[in-house]
Amino acid sequence: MGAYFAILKDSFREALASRVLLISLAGIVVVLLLLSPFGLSTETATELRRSELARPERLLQKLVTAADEIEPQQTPQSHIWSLLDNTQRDRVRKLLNPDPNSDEQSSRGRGGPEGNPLKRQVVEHMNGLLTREDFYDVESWTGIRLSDETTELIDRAELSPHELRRRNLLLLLAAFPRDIVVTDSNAISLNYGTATVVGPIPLTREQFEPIFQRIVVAVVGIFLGFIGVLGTLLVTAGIIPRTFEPGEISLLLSKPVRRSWLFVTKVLGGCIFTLLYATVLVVGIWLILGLRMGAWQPQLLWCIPVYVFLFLIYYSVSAVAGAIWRNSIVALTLVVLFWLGLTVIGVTHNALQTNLISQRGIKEITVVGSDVFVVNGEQKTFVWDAGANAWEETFEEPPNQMSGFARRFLASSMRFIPVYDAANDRLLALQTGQSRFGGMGSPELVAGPSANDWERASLGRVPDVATTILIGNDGRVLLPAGDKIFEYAGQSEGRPPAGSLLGNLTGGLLGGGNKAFREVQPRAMPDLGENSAAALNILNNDLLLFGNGQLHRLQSTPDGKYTLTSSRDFAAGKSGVVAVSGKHAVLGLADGRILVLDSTTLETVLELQLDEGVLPRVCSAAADGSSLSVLTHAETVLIFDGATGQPLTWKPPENGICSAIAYGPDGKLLVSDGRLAIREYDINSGEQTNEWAQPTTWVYQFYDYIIQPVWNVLPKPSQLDEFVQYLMSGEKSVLVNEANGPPGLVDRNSLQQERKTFNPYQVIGDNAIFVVVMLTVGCLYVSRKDY
Amino acid sequence: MVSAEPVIQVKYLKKTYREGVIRRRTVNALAGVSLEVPRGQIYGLLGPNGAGKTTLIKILLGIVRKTAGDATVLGVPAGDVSARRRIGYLPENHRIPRHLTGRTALEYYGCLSGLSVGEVRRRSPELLDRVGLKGRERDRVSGYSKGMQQRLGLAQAMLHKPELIILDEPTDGVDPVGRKQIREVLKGLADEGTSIFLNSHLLQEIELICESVAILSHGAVRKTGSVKELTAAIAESPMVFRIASDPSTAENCFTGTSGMNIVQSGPGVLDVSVSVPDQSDVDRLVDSLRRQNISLLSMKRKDLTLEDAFLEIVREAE
Repeated sequence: MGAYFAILKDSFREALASRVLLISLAGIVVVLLLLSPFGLSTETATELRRSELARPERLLQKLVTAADEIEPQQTPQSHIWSLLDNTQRDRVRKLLNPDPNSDEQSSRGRGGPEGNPLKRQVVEHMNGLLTREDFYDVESWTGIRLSDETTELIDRAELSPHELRRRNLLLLLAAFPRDIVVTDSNAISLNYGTATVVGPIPLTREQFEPIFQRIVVAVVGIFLGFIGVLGTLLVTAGIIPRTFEPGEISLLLSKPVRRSWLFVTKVLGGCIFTLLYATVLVVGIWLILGLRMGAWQPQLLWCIPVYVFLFLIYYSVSAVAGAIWRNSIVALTLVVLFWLGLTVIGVTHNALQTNLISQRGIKEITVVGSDVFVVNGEQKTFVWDAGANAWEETFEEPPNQMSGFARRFLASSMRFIPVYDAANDRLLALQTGQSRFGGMGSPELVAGPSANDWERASLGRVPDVATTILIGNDGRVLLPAGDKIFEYAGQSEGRPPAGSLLGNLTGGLLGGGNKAFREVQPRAMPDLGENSAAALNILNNDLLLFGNGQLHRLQSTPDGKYTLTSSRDFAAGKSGVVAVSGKHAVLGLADGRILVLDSTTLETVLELQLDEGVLPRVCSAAADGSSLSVLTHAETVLIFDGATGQPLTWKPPENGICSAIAYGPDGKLLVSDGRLAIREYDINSGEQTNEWAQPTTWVYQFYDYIIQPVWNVLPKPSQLDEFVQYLMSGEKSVLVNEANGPPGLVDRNSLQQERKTFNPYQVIGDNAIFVVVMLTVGCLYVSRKDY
Repeated sequence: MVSAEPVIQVKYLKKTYREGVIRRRTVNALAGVSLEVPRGQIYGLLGPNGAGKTTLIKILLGIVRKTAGDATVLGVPAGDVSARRRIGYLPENHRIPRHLTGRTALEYYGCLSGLSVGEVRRRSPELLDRVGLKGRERDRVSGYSKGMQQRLGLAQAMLHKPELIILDEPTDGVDPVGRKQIREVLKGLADEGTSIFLNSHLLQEIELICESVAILSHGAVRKTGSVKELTAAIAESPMVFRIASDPSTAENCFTGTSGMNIVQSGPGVLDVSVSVPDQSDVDRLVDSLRRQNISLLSMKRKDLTLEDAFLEIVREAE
């Protein structure tokens, strides 16, 4: 081994003797020195952040309601209103009741939750008040629960400006506990030396960290994965050709070394250039992050071997070309062509996968008698046309409801699925819409009667953010939302008169005498929070609601309302998916647990743990209680017997590529193949009983027979960026939209967001196989060659 | 002490190169070479360009694969790793990586030969002194002259004290003083018992230091033996008569002899070179000269050089 170690040692010498490398390293050091003054500082938050303003409409509504009361009471809302001058009050009223012709109307949907101008204005108004000493009024805050910190600041005689703002912020939070959600009491600022560059950043540390990690990964990816690798490929392209020149190879082969090992060692020696480059850059960034930002992330150091491995993928091509043609220009040209080829294949693969599989593939199934409806990734609804042997679009959304950007990144956390209302022979669905204040607003309940050829029409806006439509066996339409359960009570009485503030505010549902929705929740209704899940047991109309890690069972009372009968804490993340029918319920949790529960006692009948990084997406239950199913984000299906709660032994052939599941009225399971086909299976026998399959076009065949096989065979160096992201975050369940979209926009907790399971071993394995194949080709060539 | 076992033994060795991708053609570099190199000798390999000398050396080292025949080096099949551990090699036009210094180059090649860094460092000073590179060991190879690179190449070939050193044009680019130094180094190695297989186109070098020689031409060994044996093996050398005569008279006397060559060596003095293998013919020529009253100043047979023998053997092969 001493001989091969000598070759590696020589590569070190060669690297250190390379002027190009030394200049590059000096450049990195200069860049790192310039970056080193950047730092993060943390201090107690004294301003309201836009992301904390969860429900701006309600906050403003409360302010205006307090002002418009005939007999004003001393409340925090009325006091805050009193602090606003007339201009600001007019502004608040205009925010709630915009002029349809004004510019503000057109600003709708722009920029997402952090960039929305209306939300920003609300935050600016509130923050403007926080500097006022008279923000606190004893009588107004009487009866409001205040934290110890708030009380201590109130009691203090003298307050610094910082403390004053802090006190007022805490009072504001206490005044609007459900409309402002604070997850971090600290604020962070980005500094350069002693100067504050950005600050306080309108994000909590928890929100900032994944964004920050992505920035770090992007910086490392650009400097190391692109510039570094390309630069070192340029520097090292000549190593192998030089080694195999007659004057050098004759001398080397006269030594007691094996040709294959000589070749492999020389290739590994070439990696030393990247090793030096990566070590200086990554250790430098690691030190800056640790020393200046207090973010010691030892996992960042894994970037060094990862990017050396990335280099090795490309260098193996360069090395084989160099050994065959003994020409560094040929080697470099080939490796650049290889890089371009991989990029073209990767971009084509991703584009086709997004458009064919993700966007046009079937995501939801609804069976209505003999009709089968599906929803694709673009949230368009189709019905099977047996005559045309194709899916025909129906239940169409009116144009210009939501931008493609918002649909992809905001609405992707909302499940769009038509539900059949048998009593009225129509499809119902919740059509999400963008709030003027950013993010998603309350959804609209839409209906498509069969008699109108399923044409979609609005039934009114749900007063709160509901995500699920549940229809009982008595035909009642229930909409759980936050700490409310709404029942759709029939057509609204029309829009309230123009100019009515609350009417405009709520879309004409609360303030204008609209009785379309009535509240049926129990008096002690738990707040389900965001990303809650709900299911209705069609056999007894019991509700199962999951939110904030707890599952609640609610029973219907004779007055049509619901009462809470039992709850169970699952000590899991906030998100979950649930389905119930008959004796059993199935619950999928954000930690990958799947539980089959007794639907009455909520006791566990069976508990399974999905593979690491695999999360549940949808739970479904047969109406007759014969079966329950879970669809995971890995597109696998778990089927349970409704009577025993035990898993069934058979799996549909689509297991692993399945994108949607549903039960037909007869209890048969419908499964989509991720494309344009649905197959129906008998639960007991597992035999296929029906099929709705639209023939695929040549684009699918091009994807299946050319792009996908080539993609499978070729290495995927781009996945190493995901590998670094995985090392930084430790998350194996990757949000597709977060990876592809702007940072901080998608809801990370939603189980409805498209996810893929990241398998680090497969990424390394796929690329390692390619490297091994290339090195084997190189070894065989040099072993058989006469020099 | 010279062992009976030859260090190199080659029997009917053949090598055929296949060239071209579309229009394939074959080139027979070696057409059945048989050769034995005794242990402890400096053995020369001679041959015109394209005779197959370098191919033969590369087969012995395993750098090129044989097509047919047998070749053993130090008792093991040619190219075997165990044999290469015991061989030192200086290739023609070798290239030592430019980033190395004399010292680090020896460390690199010494370790490749199986030595430890410590051993290399212990042996290097004496070796560098022996090849005349003392004081230049810290200089980059990129700054070395051709001759210095040859000396460094020779040093790396000797570094691990091999039993056999194969040298391909070792004095190429080396000045006369350096050549003499290298010859002395090689003689010293031979005295220490190291076998040396030397390929050089400088016949004088071979003649000066080689005990045995093989002449290779058109892929086959044409003659082997000592320099004396080779020169003796070729046709008789010409007889040179120095006479006091005018050229026309002398020409009349030598009419009928083959290979006549008359050179004026002084005023009225001629050197006449003729090919007369038989003594009776010599006697008849002397009688003829005397009959014409031509004074015979001297008479002797000319000495043949290795070059004469080489050219003769190569010409015969053609």
